Amino acid sequence: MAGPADSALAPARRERSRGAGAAVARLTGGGRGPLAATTALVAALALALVVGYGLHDVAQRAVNGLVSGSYFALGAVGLTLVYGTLRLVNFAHGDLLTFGAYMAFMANVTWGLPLAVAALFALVATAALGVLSERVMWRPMRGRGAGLLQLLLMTLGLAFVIRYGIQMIWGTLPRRLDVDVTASIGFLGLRIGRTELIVVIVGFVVLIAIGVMLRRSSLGRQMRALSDDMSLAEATGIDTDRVVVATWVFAAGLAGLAGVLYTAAIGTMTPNLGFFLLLSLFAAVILGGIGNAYGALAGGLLLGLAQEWSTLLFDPRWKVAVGFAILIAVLIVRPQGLFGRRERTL
Amino acid sequence: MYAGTRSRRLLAVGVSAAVLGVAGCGDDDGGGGTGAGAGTGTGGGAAAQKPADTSFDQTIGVLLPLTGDLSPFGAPGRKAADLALSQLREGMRAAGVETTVALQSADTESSPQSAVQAARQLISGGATCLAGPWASSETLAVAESVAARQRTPIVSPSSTDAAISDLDDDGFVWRTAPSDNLQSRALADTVEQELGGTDFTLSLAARNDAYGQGFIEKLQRAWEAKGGRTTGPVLYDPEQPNYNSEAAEIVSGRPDAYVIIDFFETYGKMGGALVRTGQFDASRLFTADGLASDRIPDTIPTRALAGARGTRPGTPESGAVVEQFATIYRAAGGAPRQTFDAQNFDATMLCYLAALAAGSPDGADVAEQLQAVSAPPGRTFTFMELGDGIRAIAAGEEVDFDGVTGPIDFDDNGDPTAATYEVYRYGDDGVLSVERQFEARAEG
Amino acid sequence: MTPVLAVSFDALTSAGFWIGVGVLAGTYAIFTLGLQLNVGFTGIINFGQAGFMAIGAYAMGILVVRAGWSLWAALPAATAIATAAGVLLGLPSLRLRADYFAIVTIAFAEIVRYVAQNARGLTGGNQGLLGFDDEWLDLSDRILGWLPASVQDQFLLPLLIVVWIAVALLTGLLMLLQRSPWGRVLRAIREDEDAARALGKNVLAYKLQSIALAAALGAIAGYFLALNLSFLSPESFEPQFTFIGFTILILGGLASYVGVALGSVIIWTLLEATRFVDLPLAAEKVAALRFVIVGVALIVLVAFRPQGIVGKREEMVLRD
Repeated sequence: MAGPADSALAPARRERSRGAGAAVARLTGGGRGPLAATTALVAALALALVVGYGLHDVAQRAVNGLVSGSYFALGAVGLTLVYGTLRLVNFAHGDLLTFGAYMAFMANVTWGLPLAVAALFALVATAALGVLSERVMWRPMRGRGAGLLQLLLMTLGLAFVIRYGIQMIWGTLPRRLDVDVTASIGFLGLRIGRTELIVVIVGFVVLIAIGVMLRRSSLGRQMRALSDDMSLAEATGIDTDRVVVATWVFAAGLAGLAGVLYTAAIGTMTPNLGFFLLLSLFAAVILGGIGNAYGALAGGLLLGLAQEWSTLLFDPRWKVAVGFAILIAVLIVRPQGLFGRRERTL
Repeated sequence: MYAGTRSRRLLAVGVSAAVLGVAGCGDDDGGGGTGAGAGTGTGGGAAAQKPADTSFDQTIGVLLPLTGDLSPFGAPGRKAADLALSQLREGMRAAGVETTVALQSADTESSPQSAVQAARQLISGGATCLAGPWASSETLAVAESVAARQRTPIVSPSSTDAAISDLDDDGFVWRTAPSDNLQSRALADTVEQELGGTDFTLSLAARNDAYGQGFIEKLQRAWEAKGGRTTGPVLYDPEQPNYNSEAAEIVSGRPDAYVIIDFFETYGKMGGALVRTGQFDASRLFTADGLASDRIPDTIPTRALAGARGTRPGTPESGAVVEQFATIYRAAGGAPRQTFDAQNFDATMLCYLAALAAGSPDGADVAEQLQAVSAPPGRTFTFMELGDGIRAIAAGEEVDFDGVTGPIDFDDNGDPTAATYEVYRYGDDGVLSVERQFEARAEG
Repeated sequence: MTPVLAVSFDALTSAGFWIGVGVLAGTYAIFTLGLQLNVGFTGIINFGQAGFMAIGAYAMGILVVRAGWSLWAALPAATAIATAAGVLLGLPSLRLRADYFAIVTIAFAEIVRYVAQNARGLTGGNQGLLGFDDEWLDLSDRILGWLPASVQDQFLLPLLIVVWIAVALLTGLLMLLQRSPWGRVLRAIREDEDAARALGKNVLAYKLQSIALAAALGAIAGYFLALNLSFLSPESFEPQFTFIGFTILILGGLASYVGVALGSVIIWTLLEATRFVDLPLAAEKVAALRFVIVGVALIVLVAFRPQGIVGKREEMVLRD
């Protein structure tokens, strides 16, 4: 009865671990190969575009792509962490971004706190929401052996509850954070908004910190072990509950921060913001290889770049579709993404 | 066991429906649906003979965008409709006619699908004439699925899409807002006036929807017909993650002026992106009614709009009618003035006046009289002389109602033949001021 | 302005309201029949049903309005197009893991909606597509003429009748198919895909057929949606409608075709009845509350009663 079948509706099975060393190698996608190939591809693309459209336009759009890539990456890393550890595709993740943005709004505009404090508050609040969902929803369901479909549907339900709950409280009119979205800085003939630059810097610092944490700290090692094989991790004495909670703290916290940064960069927030970003986040995650945090980072940046460069080729209206197209193309051609391993996806 | 669960659930549904119903039985706005003509005989001494049937009960439905993209217009629109109702009641009392009117409103969520549902529900609830909906896309949908089919006229206060004039609607679709055919030409004329000629390049942009696309394309044609040059139009989606590239395109090439058609919700993002390019000068921006409000909302960076000019359907600037409307609007407290509020006031009035002229609230009868009561020939009156006007209609006379927004004078397509447009400008403090007005007349 | 509840009683008890609910419920029952086939009986998670609905409805509309076809010819053609889309989608993606497949299907549905929004020349974009239903309206008027005079003013009644006849026929068809050898293979695939494969069944082919059939059902639901509104616009195909479909699916019970109709009626009654509250300040909140309720209902149902109303516990395929 409890066969190893991977029918859609059975709880996902864990692969056998093949040792810690292999786990590390897995994290970097089995070597430098994909990284080098990707970099080469991007460089070639950039060159081709420069020839066609001139350095300035390509570079400016690359800057724009970097900005959107920052919050894509932040959101994607959280999404992939949860998937990696829990094998849960969290359709409510986008709404965690929205939640973060509105928490920041509450702190920054309603309570008058400075933006940095508000961002921190948003991060903590969203992390708390993530942990709450883990305690109240995911852990009990795991205990009951809930299947994939059940969990997916619950994430959908949660997405609705968060999004429309926010709408109930704050309405549908756009809101703004107390931040100057008009100041911009020029460098090398290019322009970037001052707030946008801060977004990029903060995003990168946080991402690097997360990366270091995953690599070096014991918590990070435990998270990776869990991601590799949960039952084996348990068997080796890792307190899986604690690690899972930690995963949620990071994932949700990152999502909340991403929401704040997105709003600061673009200017306004509405209850829909997370949902519209969600598919782009999926694209980034899958592009980078699901379960791979560094992959998600790269995927996010690449997606931002691709979207902005596409405006050179197509009408800007189609920009968002680029993300979807990438998503589908990757899944069809190379489902493990750029940096993932084959077994993870089939 | 399953049957038990099922019947329990059905019972729950039934109970909640009943609870909603009982709660709803607490009055609506004014007893529409109570017995016919229970009014006391008033001493409204109309010397002329009243034709039969000047007593009926009418329910006017008000479709409003209380939520969604157009929600800033919803509450003021509703207030304007309520004002119309109270004015009508005073007028009825003064004229001594025994009719009653009630309003019922419903939220269209600024969405065509919801607008259709809401319209159908209002009609199910007894409404026989609808003021609204607001968005052009909503009006197109309601026109197609509800208005002609259910023989209920709709009078939109704000749908300006030119396509509405051409609808095959059996005379059930009307609007107190002029077609964008008019406004796009009016805006082009205004740009020409403000710039002092047509030998200029305009950079065009708009939000990617019915309102934005339609308007900007007509503007492009109008400007090019004058011999001017244009770049674009750059069409952008309301839900993009990033607007920087589009903004860069709009400002590229140092155009002489920009024309951007949008609503506040999206312009909050686009405006910021425009200013960040470092090349955007809002005093060279022209726009339309979607971005017109008594002051720049705080979701828009001030530098993105301060100094910008635009046109919007307006109310004649001076004149007793407009001032009186402004007075009663202010006195009612609540929502501040908003574009198209007066248009909704007029739309609600017209629903009643046409019913009175027809002697019946039946939708088809109302639809037949809408043109007659709004246009010459006939005795003209405004809402300030409502009592006289109502008395005249009840006596069987021809009338020509002039609204707050102007003469209206519906044509055969249900459009106002003359529209007052205002040219407005945002000051550096973000406050809108009307610079001048002009009347635009539909051609042919 | 005194905040009062609107004359909801009149509207709630009016025949027009219930007929409207009935049409919506029937439309989404057909929509969810497709989901039931995919999820409940084949075990594939199709989150893209709204996309098939859109393809069917728009194909029909475009053929009639842009290419001048007759409605009656456009209907089967559009169904074929939607079915082909299902196959095209499934071919490269059905071999993926279930959760990846779910993501692909959502992306597909969003792409379809995005194209509908932007390919203005073809689909009318956000302005929408109108004018495709004249032939239906003629038929509808004729049907109305056959009905007793007392209901002659209920112009949606013919559509209600046709929709529920379709629901009955399609439900019957699916139940028949389920008992057939084909249906048995599908069930085997749902239970244990590897075992079915080991028995020599071409699992991919069966899954493709399942999704193709679901696409056709989605398309048919799309026609009823289009005829109901006389108007097609991209926002009718937003992902939330697929999620509403899933709520109906779970409420009615997985692996029960009959439960689908029941679930649909309940959900749409709830959704439509809550439009009536007319508090100006709370209107926005009420609109949002409707969907919060849907979300909570979905969570609670899935957690505590995954077999829904009429599903059987043994059929509870959500567990291992």
